[in-house]
Amino acid sequence: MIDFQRVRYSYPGADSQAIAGVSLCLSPGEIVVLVGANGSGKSTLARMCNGLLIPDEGSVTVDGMDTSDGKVAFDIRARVGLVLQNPDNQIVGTVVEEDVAFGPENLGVPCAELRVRVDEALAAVGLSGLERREPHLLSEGQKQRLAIAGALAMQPRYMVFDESTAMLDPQGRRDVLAVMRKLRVAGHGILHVTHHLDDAADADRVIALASGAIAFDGTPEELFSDEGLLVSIGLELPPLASVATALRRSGLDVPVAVANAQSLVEALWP
Amino acid sequence: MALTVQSLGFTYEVGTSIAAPVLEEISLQVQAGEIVVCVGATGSGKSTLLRLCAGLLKPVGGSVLVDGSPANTKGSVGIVFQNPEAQFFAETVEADVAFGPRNLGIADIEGAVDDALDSVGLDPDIYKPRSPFTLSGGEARRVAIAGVLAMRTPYLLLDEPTAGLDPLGRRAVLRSLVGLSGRVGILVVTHDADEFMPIADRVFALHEGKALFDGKPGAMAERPDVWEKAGLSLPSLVLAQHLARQRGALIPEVALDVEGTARVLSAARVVCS
Ligand SMILES: Nc1ncnc2c1ncn2[C@@H]1O[C@H](COP(=O)(O)OP(=O)(O)O)[C@@H](O)[C@H]1O
Ligand SMILES: Nc1ncnc2c1ncn2[C@@H]1O[C@H](COP(=O)(O)OP(=O)(O)O)[C@@H](O)[C@H]1O
Ligand SMILES: [Mg+2]
Ligand SMILES: [Mg+2]
Repeated sequence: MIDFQRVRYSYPGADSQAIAGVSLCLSPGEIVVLVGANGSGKSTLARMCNGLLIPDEGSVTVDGMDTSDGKVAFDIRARVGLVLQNPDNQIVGTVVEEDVAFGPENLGVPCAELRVRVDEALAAVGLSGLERREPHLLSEGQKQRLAIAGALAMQPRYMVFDESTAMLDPQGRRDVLAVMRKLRVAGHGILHVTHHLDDAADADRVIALASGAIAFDGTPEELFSDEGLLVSIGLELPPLASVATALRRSGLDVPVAVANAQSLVEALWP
Repeated sequence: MALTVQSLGFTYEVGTSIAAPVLEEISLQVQAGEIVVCVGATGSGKSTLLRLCAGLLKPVGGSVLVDGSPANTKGSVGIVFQNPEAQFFAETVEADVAFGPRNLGIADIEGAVDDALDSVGLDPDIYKPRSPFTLSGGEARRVAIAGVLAMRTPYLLLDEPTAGLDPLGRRAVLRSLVGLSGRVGILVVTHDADEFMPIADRVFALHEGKALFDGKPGAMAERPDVWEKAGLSLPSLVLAQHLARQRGALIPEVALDVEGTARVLSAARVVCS
């Protein structure tokens, strides 16, 4: 479990806290979606999950190991994969396959298995065939997929995706969401930071941050039915959920959290 | 008056092993003052098309003409790259936005900066003295757009201008683009079809470097086959209306925005039952 206990953090020289008293946990086998306006602290929180940032107050532990304990830093990095918001900050290899191999190689994965892991990771994100391409010749969406493949190849127990679908086309987004669901089934814990509230529809839990504090922690249905809360923290219902709300106002019987167009239409024409 | 792309072709690294054509036989027009929305899967060539339209890359075949002149004429086409705020460098918003017009030798730089900030809904008096590095995501993106607008180019190209923004930031950028239409011809690449279809005059779909569709957004909404071939999913609102039709709902014309979709679905439901 990744466990945040009353965590506070300020960037050096900043006059307000980027994380202002957050307690939360992420267990293996669940997908938790983290939403919040720009600047609410999502990336800061993501970077605390694997010890890239250490709390000023409170604690973050990964399966009992404290991220402030330098002796376990390596074990924590191996256990928590972090896909950064900007893939350019993450890409190190001179060609695609080398970049993906970099992480597991550092973990001491033997050569034969390395090949398998790299191929599987590239296939999972739809980059097979581009093994020898230089990363700087990839489109932005392809770079984002590459960053995801790099984290997948390390097979960490927990994975944190910081807006990893932002640059992807809808199909790419669906592919990555499918990868997350597969990881969940295999027992991995996923923290997914996103601006697409509709990505939250099939999460186990949604956490909303506002000004560095938790404004909501519950099911997607609960969040979608509280439009007042959403607006107050600078978010809004996805378009389809807005349609459902408008239809409910006009007296039609449709559910609060419509996950997709299919379920909306089935509610209207059973 | 138009930005005219004629039988455009392009290949990166001509003569190397990866020299596959990235764009083939692309023809497209952005009339002065209209908004053309370009959609396509990752790697379909959208960013490359924008770079060619801005004159940053040279066509391998065909041409790009801006009001009749070649695209590389300084001052005719502005381009806002993906994540443009990564390129802020000045200490104040004012200096950052003034950089482009100063380089072009525009006479009234102060006026150009004020107009540009006004156009994106940022009060010049409040924002000019601020450091660009302390802005929120939506503010920063709009300042970056203002930096390009300040060059007063008649055409504006934008590469995924709402990606990574929260809902308020996305709404602010959309509003800015609507406000500019009529004055500036806009070609915008996006994955947010739900949000951009309602403001588009035309939609242009790319698939593996080839044109797949060019027409009104309403017509594109009636073509699920085009979305599928392009490797894109139908925008959720449009999809809901197609699914309703499959269940026998009478929907004469697919709506593009939230209000329209709610109206269409509830009307169809009433007729049905
Ligand atoms: N490297 C940094 N130095 C100083 N302040 C920062 C830095 N990174 C982020 N911040 C500030 O911390 C707050 C939270 O930022 P962030 O975690 O990036 O938010 P989000 O990912 O939700 O957009 C914001 O006020 C932001 O301006
Ligand atoms: N600088 C470059 N050199 C070589 N190939 C490139 C370069 N930039 C993009 N490509 C390739 O060109 C194709 C189109 O890329 P791009 O125009 O960025 O697509 P999009 O913006 O639609 O995602 C992709 O296959 C990509 O890998
Ligand atoms: Mg962030
Ligand atoms: Mg692109």
